[in-house]
Amino acid sequence: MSTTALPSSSSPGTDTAADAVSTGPGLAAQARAAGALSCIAALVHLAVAPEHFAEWAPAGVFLIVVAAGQLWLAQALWRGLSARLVPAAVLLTAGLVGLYVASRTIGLPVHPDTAGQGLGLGGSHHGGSQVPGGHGNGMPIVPGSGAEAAVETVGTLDLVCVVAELGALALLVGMLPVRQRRSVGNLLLAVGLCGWVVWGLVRFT
Amino acid sequence: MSLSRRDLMKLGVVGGAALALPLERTVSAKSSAQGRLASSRLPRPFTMQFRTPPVLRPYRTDATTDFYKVYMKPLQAEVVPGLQTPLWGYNGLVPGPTVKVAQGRRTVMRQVNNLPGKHPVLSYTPWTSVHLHGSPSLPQYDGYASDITNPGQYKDYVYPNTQTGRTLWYHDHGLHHTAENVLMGLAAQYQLVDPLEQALPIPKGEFDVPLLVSDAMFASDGSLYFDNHSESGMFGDVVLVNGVPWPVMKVKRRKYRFRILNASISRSYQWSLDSGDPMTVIATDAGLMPQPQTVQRFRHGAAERYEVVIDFGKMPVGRRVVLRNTSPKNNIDYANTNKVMAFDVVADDFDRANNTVPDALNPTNPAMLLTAADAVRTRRLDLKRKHGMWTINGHTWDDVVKSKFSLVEASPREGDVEIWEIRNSSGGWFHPVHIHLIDFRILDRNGKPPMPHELGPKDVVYVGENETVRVVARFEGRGKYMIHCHNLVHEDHDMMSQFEVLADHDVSDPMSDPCKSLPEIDDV
Ligand SMILES: [Cu+2]
Repeated sequence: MSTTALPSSSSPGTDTAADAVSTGPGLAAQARAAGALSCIAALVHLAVAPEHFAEWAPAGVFLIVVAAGQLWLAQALWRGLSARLVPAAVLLTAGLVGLYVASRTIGLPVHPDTAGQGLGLGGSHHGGSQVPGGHGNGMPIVPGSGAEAAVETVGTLDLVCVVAELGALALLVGMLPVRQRRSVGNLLLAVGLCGWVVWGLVRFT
Repeated sequence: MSLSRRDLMKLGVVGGAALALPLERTVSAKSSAQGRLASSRLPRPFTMQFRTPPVLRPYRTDATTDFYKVYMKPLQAEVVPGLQTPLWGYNGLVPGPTVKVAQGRRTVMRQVNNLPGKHPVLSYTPWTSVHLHGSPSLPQYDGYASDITNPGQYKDYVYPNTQTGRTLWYHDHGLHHTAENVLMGLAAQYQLVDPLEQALPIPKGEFDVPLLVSDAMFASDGSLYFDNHSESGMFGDVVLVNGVPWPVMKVKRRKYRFRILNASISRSYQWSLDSGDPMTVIATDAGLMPQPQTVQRFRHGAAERYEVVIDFGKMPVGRRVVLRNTSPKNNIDYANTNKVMAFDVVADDFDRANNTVPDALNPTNPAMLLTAADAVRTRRLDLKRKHGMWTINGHTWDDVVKSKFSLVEASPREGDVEIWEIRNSSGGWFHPVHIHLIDFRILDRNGKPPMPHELGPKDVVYVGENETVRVVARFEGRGKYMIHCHNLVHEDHDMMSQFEVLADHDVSDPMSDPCKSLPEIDDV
């Protein structure tokens, strides 16, 4: 029954029927708005893919794959996404936001130069060749250079992309069945609160 | 809208956190960046007194050997008046103490790493490897970049001192942070004298003066300011001579011999005197030239040594002569980097002995007698930037490490004479290239004769923009030695490789005599 495309679904949604898929007159518009926001995020990822590719090819490939996924999601949402795909779309979008936050705070331990060196220890583009018996990796970390591990600093494009993703995430959560929406919402709340605790620790200690 | 107010609140919490955390990190990274010291806080040139580093005394001598102990340790120095700068020095001195040895006497130099566990600004652990530049040391005593000594460890370096007399220098060569360690102060002169030089009537004693020239930039808190300009080089706005910004030196009315060492991390200089007087170059990296060369100006890359005689004899008392720098291209210059130091001519009485420069200095230096016809083969070293790294023939020291130290650019047999053609096809960079172990003669540059000041035995050659330089050398010694750019930022990132001199026996490995942990044991 839920294989019907969302905008054409006519099952009435009520807060008491916890399993019901949210529907309503604005749902199609909501899906299209989420699609448009996904499209914006995809375009940002496409735009920055070449420079990442030049730096480290797998990073560029990853960004292109992400952009392709977001574009596919965008057209699916625009055309009326199967309700069954909404949870997957929520997961994908939330995961991308999480990855973004990690890449701009602790750095991602996937770059060849930082892999195996721990996080936040620097490394630039060396193979991180260890010296027999050496303490640490010996790499100077210039303060504020952004060379601190694989941590990138936040730029305008980052903000455009993450705001679009957060908007899409909110709209997608709103398309979930009520019971799912509540548990996903609580999970996100918990993650968000943890984030604010970390922020407070960093800011005030 | 199907989201309740409560849902929106939850999403707001997570969304806010997703925006705030990265921004916080970015802002804190920017605010932790060093602030540069305003140029108005720097001393005015020629207001500070010139000084020379003290001479290091051996703690023990026997029939053949002088034993020295050097402790690398942190210090606070008032380089810029009114500010304390944390530095690292050999025996707590910047520059380190000068070592003076006689040809034929062996030196054992104990280098103790008493540096802190972490660099105060850059956080890395300062392991060290001490290189005596200009010495045909055995591979295990040559300061091989990967043969490191951590803080809390020490190593005894053995130097044969069998080569011709020359101005050497000892400096750090530790993997990945040579530039930072040397900028912190780990550099000093080491003078080897031989009987030929002793017999010449050239200036000696107080008239034989070391000039260790370097440059630095300072942060507003007094610490050194670190910026390697995307791994292209470190350039300071302060020129230091023997650790003093733009010093002024009193000179008597006679000839002086200056042993100029460019100990800068990246900067090259072109020296001249503002009086228009010439300078007489008498020695290059590996000792006395066959004949002196009189020049108005000359180019001097990092790690090169040029000894010049300047004659203040005809200058009036009270005259000030400024040693200037008309910077070669592709350096980053600041308001006063065109000045180096000043000489004030004084009326004091002086010793008139050893006040000449003979027409022949060392006409029989073996390196200078080599010709292209002596070479059994020609090899090429290509200096280029590849995938954001500085490379030699496309290789980096990382490649050498990954090959388990087997990768070599050349493997001459012991005693072979070879021509090495070193090519820099870039117009944007110059590379002072240092070949360890050997002394060489420069054959030509872009097919033209070497510059007059280069007509002596060398171990570093300035390979300027779009230059191809040919050098010829005999490979005496055995084992693996480094070849690298002496712009130390290039060296660290990662323009360094190695060659191996092949022999049938008695070839020692660079890693065969590792450091020991403190406390010291007197077993040498
Ligand atoms: Cu270079």
